[in-house]
Amino acid sequence: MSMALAAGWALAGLSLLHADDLQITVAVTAGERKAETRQTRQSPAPDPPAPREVFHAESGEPLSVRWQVTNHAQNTKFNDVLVHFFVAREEKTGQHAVPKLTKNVLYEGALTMDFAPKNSAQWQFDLNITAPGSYLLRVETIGLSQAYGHEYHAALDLVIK
Amino acid sequence: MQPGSRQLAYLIMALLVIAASAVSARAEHALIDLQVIAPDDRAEATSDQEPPIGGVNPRPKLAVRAGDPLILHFILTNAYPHGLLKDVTVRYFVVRTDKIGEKQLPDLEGHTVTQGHVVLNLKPKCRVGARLQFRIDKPGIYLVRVDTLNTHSDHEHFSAIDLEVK
Repeated sequence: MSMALAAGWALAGLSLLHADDLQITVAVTAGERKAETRQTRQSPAPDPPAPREVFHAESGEPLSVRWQVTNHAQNTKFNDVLVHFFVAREEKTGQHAVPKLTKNVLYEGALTMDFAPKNSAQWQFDLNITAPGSYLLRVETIGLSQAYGHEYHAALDLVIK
Repeated sequence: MQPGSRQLAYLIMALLVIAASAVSARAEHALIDLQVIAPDDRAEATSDQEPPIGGVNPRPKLAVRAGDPLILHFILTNAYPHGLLKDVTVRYFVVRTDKIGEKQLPDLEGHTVTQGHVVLNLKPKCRVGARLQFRIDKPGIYLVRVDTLNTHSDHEHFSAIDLEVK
């Protein structure tokens, strides 16, 4: 088998995993207002990413965040998935670069879990941001790219005034 | 290593190292390491269990000033070796209490300074943790606690610290 064919064979195996097999949803609410992510994104992505949803809130306004990761694949079990998430200040709303998590990280969490078909994990937490600015709320997988060719994530921006 | 990932790598390594050492040292179902970090001091607590209500271990205490920026940091490791625990809840909260060492939990509904919970399947040696900022503006006694719910056993695990806010 030629190197090119072998590479194509390997990539074909990776691409059998569909983009929506592992779904991540992230939602923020404040009273009656709510913002929720509309899609699970991949890294690397074949196309330029669509703009993220933006949620506006007042300084000190009580927020509630909820995210969920669900395995919608019928026959694939994801083992030892590290799900990592954070709320961190960003320089600009909608920026592509993920902020460095060395400072201005208001919340950071992680869990490890096997995701058999239909398995899910959900995390809900209160959030209260007093410093005005733009913040990235992102939920991502870590460690899937070696076996599946990409990671999954979902994110939205919080703009505090 | 890509920018921003070094800190993440440290977090992941911390989870792995703490989990490995904790599993080898004790024989409990859930190992919960809890810290509250204040500008000038910190307190740490390890696992206790209920029943009895309020556990058996002395609860660490930390004195802080109202308005201080505080950090709540916990890592739970599942030390249960006999298979998967499905739909377990791991929750944390900060709530005002009447006195230091209060055994009975106060009403949490609508009375917490901050709270959160995660529902997940726990397999042996898996880990869940978080590090979050919070602040308490009113003086008083507060309970910081991380605990498990719905582990399908005759007891639950928790870790707790009392805060004296002046």
